[in-house]
Amino acid sequence: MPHCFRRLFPLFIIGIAILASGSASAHAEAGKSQVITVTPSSTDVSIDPGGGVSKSIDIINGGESAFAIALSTSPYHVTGEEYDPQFTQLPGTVDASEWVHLSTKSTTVAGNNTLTVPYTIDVPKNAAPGGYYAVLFAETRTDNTQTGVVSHNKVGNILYITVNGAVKSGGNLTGYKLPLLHFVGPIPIGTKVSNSGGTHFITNITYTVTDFKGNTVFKATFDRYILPQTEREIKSSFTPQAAVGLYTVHRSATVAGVLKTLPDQKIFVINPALLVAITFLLGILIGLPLQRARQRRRSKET
Amino acid sequence: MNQLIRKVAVISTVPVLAIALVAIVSSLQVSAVTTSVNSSIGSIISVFTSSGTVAVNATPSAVGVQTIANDVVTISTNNASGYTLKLAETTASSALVSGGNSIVASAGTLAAPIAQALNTWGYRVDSATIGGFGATTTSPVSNAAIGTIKFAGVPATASPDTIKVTSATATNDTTNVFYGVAVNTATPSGAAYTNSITYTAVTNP
Repeated sequence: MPHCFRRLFPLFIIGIAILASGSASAHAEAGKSQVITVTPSSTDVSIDPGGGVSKSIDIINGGESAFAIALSTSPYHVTGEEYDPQFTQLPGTVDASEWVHLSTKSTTVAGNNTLTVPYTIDVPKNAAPGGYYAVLFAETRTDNTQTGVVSHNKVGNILYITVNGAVKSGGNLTGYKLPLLHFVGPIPIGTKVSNSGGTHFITNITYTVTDFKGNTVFKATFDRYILPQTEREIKSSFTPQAAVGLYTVHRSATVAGVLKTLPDQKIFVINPALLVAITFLLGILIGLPLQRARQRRRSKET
Repeated sequence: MNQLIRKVAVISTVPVLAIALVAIVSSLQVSAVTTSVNSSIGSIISVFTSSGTVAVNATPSAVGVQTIANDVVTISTNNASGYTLKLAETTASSALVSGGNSIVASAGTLAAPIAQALNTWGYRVDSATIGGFGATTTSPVSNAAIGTIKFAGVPATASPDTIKVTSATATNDTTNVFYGVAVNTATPSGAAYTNSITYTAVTNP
């Protein structure tokens, strides 16, 4: 028996070593993952011309290994009604990202740790009142020894900066033309909110659908930023549950602080299968008496 | 007489005690009503990639082979209007470079992706709504015949491609980004063909 132990002992040691190295390599693989989180993901500030504010951004490393990060700022604007974000400067506009001064531009965040990076936004004295936009980015940096397609993760904190002063505000609400008759599937009931003013506002949109008794069968509310000199599409859809019904769609939104309401629109919904069944039944109900009457007429004639 | 006085004293203390009790209870009720709970929930956005590097290794043949490998990008945000995920080159180089050798980027674009030409590399996402890729389900392959699946070149740093848009909060929402390499024996061997790409995630306004 002791002989047996003596023979097996080296194998036991080798086994332990293999298990240990396996777990170490698995750990190293897990450690390579990059989980970068920033909070807040957007910051809304109002500053007087010539004034400034001090803020901070938290960068959270959710992985086990430390990673290097680079901090930077970029201009920010959106394109299209879908609001596709762009990190470039619109021609003829002021680059507000130059107003942001970071306390550091590169640092390391330890694994499972949070790093707070202070920054200031300093508005020039000659800045005109209105809305200005920028993004503060935190980006992971990888070492140069990796090969293949090497990925970097970048997350942004959007800065909505209002320079105080007299600013024109206004906008409009328009809606999709809704069908009078609908057969099957969801009905798009979205709207578009435009901003003709000089700074952003938050629109509060409400879509409500009521049945013929006045009961609410669908309700959706959204709070969305509307940037100056843009129009934004806010999509939603209502899927009727009943096979047949008469519905009224109510749509309203606050536009630059003013409640605007679109005219109510009625939609008659009928399931195509039900429509076919009703047509078939009507055909039978009308056709059978006609057929009988024809048969009676023929028998009288003969 | 003394007994009478004692009875009167006892009886008169009862309403006094009752009034005191009511006052205590009502004061407790008042303090309960004024209690309020406030909570401020901070906004966050996070990006997670599984490994930080995608190996798209290939052993070429005279007619050419294609290798497709994927990266999983996971986003979480508590922003009610969702997030936008973009992809672009990290540096000015759009090629997979190994020393003095390179594999050029696909000539396809997000709007008009193309099947992979020989000795090119590119990316794709399976989506019917993003660009012209289409919802065809892509599977990772290794040294397979060059297929008809459409790829685009990774765009320059200044003009990233939008590869996902959402409109609600997201918890561990994943996007598969596929990288494909198509090579024949004209591409010199090299173990270190490398390119750096950046995934950018921002919350929607």
